[in-house]
Amino acid sequence: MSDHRTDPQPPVTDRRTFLKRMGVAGAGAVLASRVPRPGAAHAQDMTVRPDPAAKRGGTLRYAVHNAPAHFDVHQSGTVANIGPQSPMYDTLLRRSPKDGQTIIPDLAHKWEISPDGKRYTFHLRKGVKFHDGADFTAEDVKATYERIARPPKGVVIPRTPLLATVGDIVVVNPHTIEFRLTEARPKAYMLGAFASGWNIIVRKKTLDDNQGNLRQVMNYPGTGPFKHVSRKDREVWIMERNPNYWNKGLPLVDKLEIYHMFPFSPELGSAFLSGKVDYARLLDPVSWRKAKEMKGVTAAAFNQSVIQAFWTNMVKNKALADPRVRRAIHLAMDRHTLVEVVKDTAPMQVGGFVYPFHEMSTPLAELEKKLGYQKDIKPAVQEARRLMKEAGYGNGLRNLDFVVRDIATFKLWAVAIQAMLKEHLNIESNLRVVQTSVWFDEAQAGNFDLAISAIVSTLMDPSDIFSAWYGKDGPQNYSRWTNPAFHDLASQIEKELDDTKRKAMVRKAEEILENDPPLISVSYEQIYDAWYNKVRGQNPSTYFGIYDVVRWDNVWLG
Amino acid sequence: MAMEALGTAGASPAIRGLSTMRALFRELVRFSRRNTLAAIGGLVGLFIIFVALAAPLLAPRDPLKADFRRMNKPPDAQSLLGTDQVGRDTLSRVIYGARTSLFVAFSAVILGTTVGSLWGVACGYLRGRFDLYSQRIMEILQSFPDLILAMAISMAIGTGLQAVIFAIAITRIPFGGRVIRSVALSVREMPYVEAGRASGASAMRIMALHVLPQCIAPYLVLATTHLGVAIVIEAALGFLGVGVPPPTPTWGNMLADSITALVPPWWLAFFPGLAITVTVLAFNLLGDGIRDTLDPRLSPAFLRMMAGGRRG
Amino acid sequence: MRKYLTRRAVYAAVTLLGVSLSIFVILRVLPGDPLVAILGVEGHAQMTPADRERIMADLGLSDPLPVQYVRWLGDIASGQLGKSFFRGDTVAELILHRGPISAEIGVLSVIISWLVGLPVGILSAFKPNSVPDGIARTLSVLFIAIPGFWLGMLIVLALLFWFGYKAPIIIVHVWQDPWQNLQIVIGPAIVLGLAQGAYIARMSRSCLLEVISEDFVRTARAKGLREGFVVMRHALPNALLPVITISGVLLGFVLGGSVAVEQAFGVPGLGRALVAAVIERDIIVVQNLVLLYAVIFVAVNVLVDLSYAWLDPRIRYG
Repeated sequence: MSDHRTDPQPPVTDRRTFLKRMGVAGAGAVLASRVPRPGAAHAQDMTVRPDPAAKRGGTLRYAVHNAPAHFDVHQSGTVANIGPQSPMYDTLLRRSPKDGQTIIPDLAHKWEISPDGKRYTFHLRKGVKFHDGADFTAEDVKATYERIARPPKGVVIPRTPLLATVGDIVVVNPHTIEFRLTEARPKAYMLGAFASGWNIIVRKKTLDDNQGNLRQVMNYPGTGPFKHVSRKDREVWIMERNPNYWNKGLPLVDKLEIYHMFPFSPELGSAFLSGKVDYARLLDPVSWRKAKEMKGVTAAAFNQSVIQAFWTNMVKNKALADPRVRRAIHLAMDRHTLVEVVKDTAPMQVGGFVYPFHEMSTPLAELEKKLGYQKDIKPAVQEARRLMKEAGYGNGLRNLDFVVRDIATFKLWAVAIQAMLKEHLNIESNLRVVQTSVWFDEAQAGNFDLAISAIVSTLMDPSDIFSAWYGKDGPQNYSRWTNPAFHDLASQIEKELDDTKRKAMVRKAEEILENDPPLISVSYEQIYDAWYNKVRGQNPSTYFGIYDVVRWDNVWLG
Repeated sequence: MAMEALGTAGASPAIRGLSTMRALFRELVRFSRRNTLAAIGGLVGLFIIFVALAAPLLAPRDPLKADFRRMNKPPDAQSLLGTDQVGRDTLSRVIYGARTSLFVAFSAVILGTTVGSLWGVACGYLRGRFDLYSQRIMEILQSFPDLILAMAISMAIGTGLQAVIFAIAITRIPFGGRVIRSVALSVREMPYVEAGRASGASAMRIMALHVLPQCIAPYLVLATTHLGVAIVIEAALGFLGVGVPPPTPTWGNMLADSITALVPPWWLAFFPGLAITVTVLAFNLLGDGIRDTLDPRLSPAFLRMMAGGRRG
Repeated sequence: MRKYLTRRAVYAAVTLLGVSLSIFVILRVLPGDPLVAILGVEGHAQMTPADRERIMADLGLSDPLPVQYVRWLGDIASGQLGKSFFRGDTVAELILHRGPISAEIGVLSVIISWLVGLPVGILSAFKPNSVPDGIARTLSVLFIAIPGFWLGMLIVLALLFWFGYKAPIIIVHVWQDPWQNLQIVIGPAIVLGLAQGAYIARMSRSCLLEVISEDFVRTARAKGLREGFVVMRHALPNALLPVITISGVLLGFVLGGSVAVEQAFGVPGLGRALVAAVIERDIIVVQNLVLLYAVIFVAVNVLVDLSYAWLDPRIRYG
């Protein structure tokens, strides 16, 4: 497989070319792609530098959802926070904007890992200032990571499980900080955690001044390339370049205009196609196809660290607590049709409980042979009906409260899923469409029988997914699912350093999930980006997700 | 003809009934000839009501059933108005949408106008403090733009069919209140009512026997004129996403759902809106005709009252 | 006149007080704990009773309802219009930023309605039951029936697909760039204006028809005055009076209808902010915006009544 570090390539225009370069046989195998394990490559000498050919100045107009329920990035899992807010912050390490995979220095210019893998030492840059003029020191890193690893009461952070083995965080001196782990973890995993776009570094004073809760603070100081100028709710967020940015020479544009638009919305599509927006992320397939045809426009597709699924409330509903019922529901889903239903609204692909494009997971060709993923659903439905009868629910279920996030894809799927449940299993549900913020509240409060949404993982690594999505009492485990055998296996997988053994264990874990589903997967998201060719420096074709390379510091307008 | 020669007096009830019906029919014909538009409106309205009532029989398919083999099909022989993104038949959904929209509109208008009218009768007849306070309350209700009041109320009491009906009904109360109040006021001054009062008849009895019958005509005018408004408010609530919740098909919901893709299928964006327009048009024309007939004078003062203007 | 003025003003003030009370009552009936919105459900569940009391007291939500009501009125009087639960934007900012757009749409639509409705109504009245009259009446009836938001939807789609055109996506005020601003407001203004214009055409036609047959007009004609002169001096004022009256009602229509029409055109106006707040259940924002709409409605109706009174010599000189 090509090594992104030493083989820079021009931007790819579509998946086919991308896959050819990746050496995957058959352009039709869109879904069986293998991307090298993220974080496997890291380079301590690759701090982002401005492109020598870059022109400076100008305003970049970009559109993303920027009316989040609150402003606390750490507590968030949605693009509505990371999309607009990240240009104002830096992280300890970051993923290189060149390939979206390689981990490179950011606020830490050098790092060391002890041979036993339990001590991570980061050397921080000197002379870095926050937007309010305060000096950046290791105390700020400690305060940030203490918060993420051990959030105060009232604060819930989805990345906490990633740092579960972080014990003491020691400030050696104002520019050196040490993380002492209670247990070793694979290097790629830990470095991935430190490089996650979500773990923005904030000032210790900011946290102290706000009782550790930044939900209502719109503009807390960061060290990032852009500074907040103004924000009009549900309209636009304007930022300007930070003249005192530590990375001299960056950023390259003078101003960011971030417009508020919903993902996959026709609003976004029409704004991009009519030239009102320079860079469109999360474009709908119809606009994206149109964009590909346009002269002077580049269109890219890449994978997203998000699963679209619906949860079954095992606490509230006795029937749903039975694994046979859940497996029946899992089998009754016609996944290929579900992808088809939204084909004009959002780009999706079929998948199971783990990312279909990760090398540890069951490859899609194999997956499609299993019940629940086949194109012909008759065998799966038969098995599903048998299970329901065996569990004592041969006559189905009534009056399930099905909570739906108010986004086009979920609304369409909810109707389709409702139809599939009724037709195949005689399960009757009532759809309740709510706003996103209300959905998360209802989900966490357990006010639902079925609830459909999308959730994020920070890394592609199964260990992250297993703890973030399926971990006991995990923040995104809305079904409140537990399975002792699985949790045991998951903790072994976390510690296993041998790849072959790990892969075998992951397959076993997948089997457990298939038979006792913690959630019912609908599909995995792909991302369609498009930009006018004057926007240079952003090549998302090899990115994983939209949460890591989001800073726009090395982007320029030609 | 022989009937008329005989005259109806002294004839059996069946014959009397029949000739009443013939008289009614003749009235209708006369009405239609003078107000052709209103008659057409009435016929179309009746047709729509019939469609709404007979929806389960008329709709070719279940409006809620997704058909994954026929997603996003344009109008063709199998689906006369096309299908939506999950394969639901648009024609069936429009027909059932008529059911929901008309049910909501009729319920809301009847509820609101009746409550308002009864309140207005009480105000007009009883006068005094009750009238004063009631007037102020109605004034306050009328200070809110229709849609906004409906939105605020449905936010408070939740979404759902009953909530929407209730919210729209509340916005109709003041109109009934005002008009019927002035009718009651004028009837109150009539000599025979004075006589009734003098002879000790109870307020309730007088209101029921003398005032109410005079209110029937204005009530009918009110109800028909506000039907169109109620339909549009319900559709607007659905369009904004705060009306009758999905998956129940209402015309407003369908319009909102149609704009989910950059290139919305034209049949999804067109037919529900057309349905709203035709229905509102029909009932408006009918209402105009009824108003013309029952109050041909159409004085600005009356209109002002209908429109709810304040005078002192 | 002055007596009438004061009476009317006091009247309006009392009404507004009642309006504010109704809004307060309606929205306080809402189920659910406002703190959930601020802290999120998990955070909310982890609060100790002491924490909860402290935060509620800070926000003033633990006082008895009447106290909260009075404080709310006081806040509004002193210009503190509250802020959103979610992103902390102040309602005042919202009104100052988006208000002008919605106001422009309203005013423009009224102007359009008069420019379109009056001439059509007058001409129809002068040639009743002729072909142009028939067309005018058909169109009027049609425009009253067509839902504004549907028309808006279709216009946006047509402009996009036939001309590749899309209106500006962020707010540009008229004092910043009039042309951009016009593009934003003209669509909704036309849709709302045509609908209002239809009502005005019908109203002015029927009122004018009545007046035209009246004695003094016949006398004027008999005196040999020209038709146009007759119209201007005698007929028109009588046609205008009901138009002014109906403007109050039509304003309610504009204020309400603009919410849906703004949504259809994608205009970032006050109406859309209200809808978003209702959907997110952002109580304070809804409360204060609804109050604003009611205040505007009441104020304009007072103006209408005052102008009516001014035109009525009995009140003007009485």
